[in-house]
Amino acid sequence: MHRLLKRQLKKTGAKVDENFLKLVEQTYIDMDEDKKLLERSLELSSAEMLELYSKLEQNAKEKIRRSEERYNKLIAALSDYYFFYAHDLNGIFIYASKSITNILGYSQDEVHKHFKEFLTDDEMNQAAYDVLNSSIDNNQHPPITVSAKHKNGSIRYLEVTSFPVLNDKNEVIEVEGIARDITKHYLANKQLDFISHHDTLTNILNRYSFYEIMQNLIKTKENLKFSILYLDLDHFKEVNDNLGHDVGDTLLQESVKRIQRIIRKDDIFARIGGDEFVVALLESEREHLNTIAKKIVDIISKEFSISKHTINVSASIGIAIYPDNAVEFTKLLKKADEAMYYTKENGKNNFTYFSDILK
Amino acid sequence: MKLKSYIYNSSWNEHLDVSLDSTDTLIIIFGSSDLSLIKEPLNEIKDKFTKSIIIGASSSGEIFMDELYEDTLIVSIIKFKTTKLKLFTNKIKDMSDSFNLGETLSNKLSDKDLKAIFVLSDGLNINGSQLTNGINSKLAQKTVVTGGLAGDGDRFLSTWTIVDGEAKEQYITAVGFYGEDISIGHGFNGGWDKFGISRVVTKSKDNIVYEVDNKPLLDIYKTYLGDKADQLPASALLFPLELQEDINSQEKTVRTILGVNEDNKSIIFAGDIPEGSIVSLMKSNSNRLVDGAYNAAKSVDLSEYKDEDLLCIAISCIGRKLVLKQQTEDELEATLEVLPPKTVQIGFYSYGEISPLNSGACDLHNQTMTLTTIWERDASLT
Repeated sequence: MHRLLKRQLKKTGAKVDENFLKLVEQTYIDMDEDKKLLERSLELSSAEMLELYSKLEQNAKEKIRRSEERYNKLIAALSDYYFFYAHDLNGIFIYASKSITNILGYSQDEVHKHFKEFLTDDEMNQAAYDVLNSSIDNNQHPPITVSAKHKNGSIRYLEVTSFPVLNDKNEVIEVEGIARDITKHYLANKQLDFISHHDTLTNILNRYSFYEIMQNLIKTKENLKFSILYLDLDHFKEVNDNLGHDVGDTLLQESVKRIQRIIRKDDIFARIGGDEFVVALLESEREHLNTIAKKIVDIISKEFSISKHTINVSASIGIAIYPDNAVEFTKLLKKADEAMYYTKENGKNNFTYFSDILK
Repeated sequence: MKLKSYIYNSSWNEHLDVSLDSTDTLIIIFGSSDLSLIKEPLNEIKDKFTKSIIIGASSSGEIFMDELYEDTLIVSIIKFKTTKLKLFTNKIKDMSDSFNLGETLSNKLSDKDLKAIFVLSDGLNINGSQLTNGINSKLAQKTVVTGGLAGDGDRFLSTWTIVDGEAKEQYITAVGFYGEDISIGHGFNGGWDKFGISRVVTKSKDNIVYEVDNKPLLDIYKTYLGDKADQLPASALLFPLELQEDINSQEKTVRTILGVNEDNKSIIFAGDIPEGSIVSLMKSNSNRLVDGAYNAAKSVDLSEYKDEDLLCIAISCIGRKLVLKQQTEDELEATLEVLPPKTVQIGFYSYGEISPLNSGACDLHNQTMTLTTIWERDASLT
């Protein structure tokens, strides 16, 4: 008989019907069995869950380890070109990866300053400040180029991508970013840009850029007034033929230098043919134009001394005024050219206004 | 509709009313799988009710009102006033035939007036989920299909259904109800909860599972059952499986064990368990199961019911009986507490239950209490 039932009967001294007793005893046995089975299944399922948990934990750790390994390899491989950083909401760096030393020369301990301290005064950085500040306000932006100071004083160009780090309330808590050293690429591009817009011999604008700049100016500026001085070197062909191209080339370079001493920085100066130059001046006052044109004629007519040769040339200039002589730029240029030919045919070493030819 | 119910327990509880015999009479029988005990009363019914349609199935325990019986015969005789009936029986050649049999059943019973089908099938030689899939494939969804798989105590050796008035193995039987006045209600509920880890089925074919998480499922069952493992397959019913066909699927079903194969360490279930599906062990206790039965009765739609005679066929899973033991009748009391006072409840403990899902399509359920209520509208009642 079931122990508990036996004890209960003994304690109470109850006389119970045998069939009823059997049913009660079966209930006791069933309950014991149910309890045993339940405890067994609880024990087993807990053990299985713990095993599964530890397996998952191990898998997760292994995944993190591998991911860190891959990350470190990546960082090492990119350390000459990239560094990673984080700054707080005040713009103060809180972290920079080791590779910042390869790129900007600073150690990791030297970076805890505002990011502005690492940037040059270059105008390009003004736009960069706006973009970098906008990350603090949780705005995404495309990569930007900044000009940064290397610890040794040289300049490095960096392409910077920054992204806000959010907390679980979607508030920005800091800004992380990747900086890529694009100095070589940036300088090469800059040079390429210069070459495509400038005359390789004299380093002043080429014909293509001159047209582009002037046409753009006409398109964008209202009530615009300007004048074109079309200049041709007299006797240049003789210099080239008698003294050789090298001397001719140097003569062109020296002439450009002399003209640059007379015109202002804002004036647009270009070489548009072998010995043909143009200067666009943003004014049309005859008095002033006369002064400039005369100064150019005078300075060119002064003796040149190149490779032990004494060379005397002169300049013939034609002047056309926008919009008085033409509103279309190519026509205006043609009119300045016509005025220049007029000067050439009438004694050279002088200047002529297009409007005066007509008189 | 006239309804009389009887129990044969060594003798009839009262004389059979032979006047109920007609072509519109349905006789439903549930009885012991030991044919020697019930042969006599079965023959008596066959001889006395020559016009009636007789269907029935062996059980793992007979239900009569709120009481559970073993090795008896329970009979309900229903003589319908306007409802017409049609019988379907077919031999099951092979378990793989299950889907086709379902299709044939639907084809044979389909008619514009068809309201409901009540199916009783052999409990061991059938793939229940394929059978219900076959039935659904050829049937309008408004047709209510309920029923169950015959039982054999907790032995899993041999079951029978009634064919031409005789108990036969490997048969599927069904009756179709036709007409405007017949009302067939239904409800099911389980009361089982999954526990422990989820496992992926790594090797299975149809309703046979070999491995989960690359380990034999039979070994897992044996570990959990401990010294109850020697009572397999019955003891496996204490831990049915929750089946989720894929990780994204919302529908979860319960699968119960029909047999084990020690040679290849496989377990045969009452329905399909596809490879890649996710399964978990389930457990329950008496209170949860009784609540389940109560909720099954609550879910029966009786909004049109007007105090007519009402027959409730309760088909409950053998697995519930194994957990409930002496408290089995608690769940029979629970359903009657909810159903109308005129309800006569008969039924049996089965190897699988069939009842509509929310979608309307019928499905094989396991480990549930499944109720089918039958009444015929009586115009005189308002």
